[in-house]
Amino acid sequence: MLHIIKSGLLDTLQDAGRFGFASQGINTNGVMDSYAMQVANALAGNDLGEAVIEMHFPAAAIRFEETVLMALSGADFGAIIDDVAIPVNKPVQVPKNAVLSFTKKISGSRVYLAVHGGFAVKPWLGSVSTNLVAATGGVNGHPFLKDDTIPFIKKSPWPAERLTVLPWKADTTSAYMDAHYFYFIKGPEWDWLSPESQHLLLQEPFSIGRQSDRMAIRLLGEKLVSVKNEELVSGAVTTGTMQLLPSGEALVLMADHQTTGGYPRIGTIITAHLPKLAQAEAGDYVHLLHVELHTAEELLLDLQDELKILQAACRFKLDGLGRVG
Amino acid sequence: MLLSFGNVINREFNQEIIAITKHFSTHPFFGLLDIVPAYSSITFCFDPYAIHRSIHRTTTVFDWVRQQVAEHLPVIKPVADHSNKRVEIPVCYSTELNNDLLAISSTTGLSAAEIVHLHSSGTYYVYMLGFLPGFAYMGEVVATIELPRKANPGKVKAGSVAIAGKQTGIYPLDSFGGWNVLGHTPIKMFNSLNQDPCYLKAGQEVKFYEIGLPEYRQLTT
Repeated sequence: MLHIIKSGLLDTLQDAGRFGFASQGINTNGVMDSYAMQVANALAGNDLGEAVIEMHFPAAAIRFEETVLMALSGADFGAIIDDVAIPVNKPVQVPKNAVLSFTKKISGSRVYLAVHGGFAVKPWLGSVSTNLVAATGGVNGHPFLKDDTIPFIKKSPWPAERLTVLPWKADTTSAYMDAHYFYFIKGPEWDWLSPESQHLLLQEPFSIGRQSDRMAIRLLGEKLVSVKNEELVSGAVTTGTMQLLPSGEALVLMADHQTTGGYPRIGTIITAHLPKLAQAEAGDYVHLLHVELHTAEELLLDLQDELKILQAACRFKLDGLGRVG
Repeated sequence: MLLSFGNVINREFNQEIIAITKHFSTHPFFGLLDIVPAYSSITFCFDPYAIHRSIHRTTTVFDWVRQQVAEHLPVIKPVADHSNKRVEIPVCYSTELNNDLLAISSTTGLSAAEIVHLHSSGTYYVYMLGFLPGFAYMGEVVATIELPRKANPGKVKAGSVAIAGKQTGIYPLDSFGGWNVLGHTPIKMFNSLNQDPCYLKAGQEVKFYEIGLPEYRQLTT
């Protein structure tokens, strides 16, 4: 089990999301950066969609009350375990009572912690993702508080007497390269944008707004104009949906988005580029590039193929460690 | 994948959407993750990787999904569901509970009693759930109390019964919102501990009836 000895800004338990209940208005939640979740799980020898802890900066301080194999992926918050620097994207054998903490924001916005075997938390409607609005799922439906404890599903087959960073590393270049370029496909209301606004969206850079959160990433830039006066009847939105607000501002819906919305859906950021967006920071530039659906699919399938290969390679390496019990 | 009947609010289209949702909930195609029914559209969420790995295909995953939906659509017919009895919901319209009744009264020129009567004498149809877990979009309210959303949205309490445009709804959770609040219901629209956490379902008919403040207080404790 692990023990939260100091809470962070927003630390929650998340998995790939809660699907199957959108018809009741129950949103999916889940991790912001699904790639980092999968990398952390692959390194920890887990199924790629196993639950992970998502942390923002400042992040929690965590004591491991039993030995465990863990991995961090996503943002680099200068992690240390008992004064030893811990890199992201490497598996780490942690001895009992070691304390993980984070010292400074180096890059990215969200770090993910996976432990081998996963966390023993009762799912709500098939998922352990935290739904903060409905105060359910995750650990008691809220961000981690001081003295929350989260049990592990199983004992580590690789008990560690001392801290060991294992000598292999996941290469995450393909998910985060060209950090400021985001592909999108046109949305159902793309034509609601004036031709000038369409041009603007394709040509001019935007920047990430400070008020971005797990619900939406705000894009700051010149105002976009709708040519339609009619009100849109509420319809489905998804992670990556770009909505045009009445103010002329655009935003990209993220993990905690609602199931439906009534603002024009001018586009959708492709799923393969959402990890980059989840790790972008306030003030970062965003260049939008239009692609066709088949490109969006190919890039996602390629990324997922890579993750499957990573998972197989990590399992092979871990098997080489020799299990106890 | 989005299937749209146009930018309209139409009960017949909506009943078709509910029938399509029911069909694919009980006969899902491989890789279907979720279905998002709305007023006049239905959206299918799918797992492209699972479909890509498991199904031999010559086109994109999207085209395969579109084909699965298109093949089934002609056989789906809306069926009258008599199990969906009319749901009666008690509402306390007392201004002591901090509603917008006085503001609505001054905008519409109607007395508070007339507004309460107009709202509680209608029978409303649940078009969809969205926005928040268990938030039912119902319609239509009579034209005399059709109002735009508030210019300055604020905090709204769980159980608030509100109107916006032709729609009426009940906030299932404490939330930020811009609809005009008429009253409050003691009934929980969302309870995560229930096997079926949401009180209302799309396709149901809803009637509001007025209760007094003492009764409201008794039912909420």
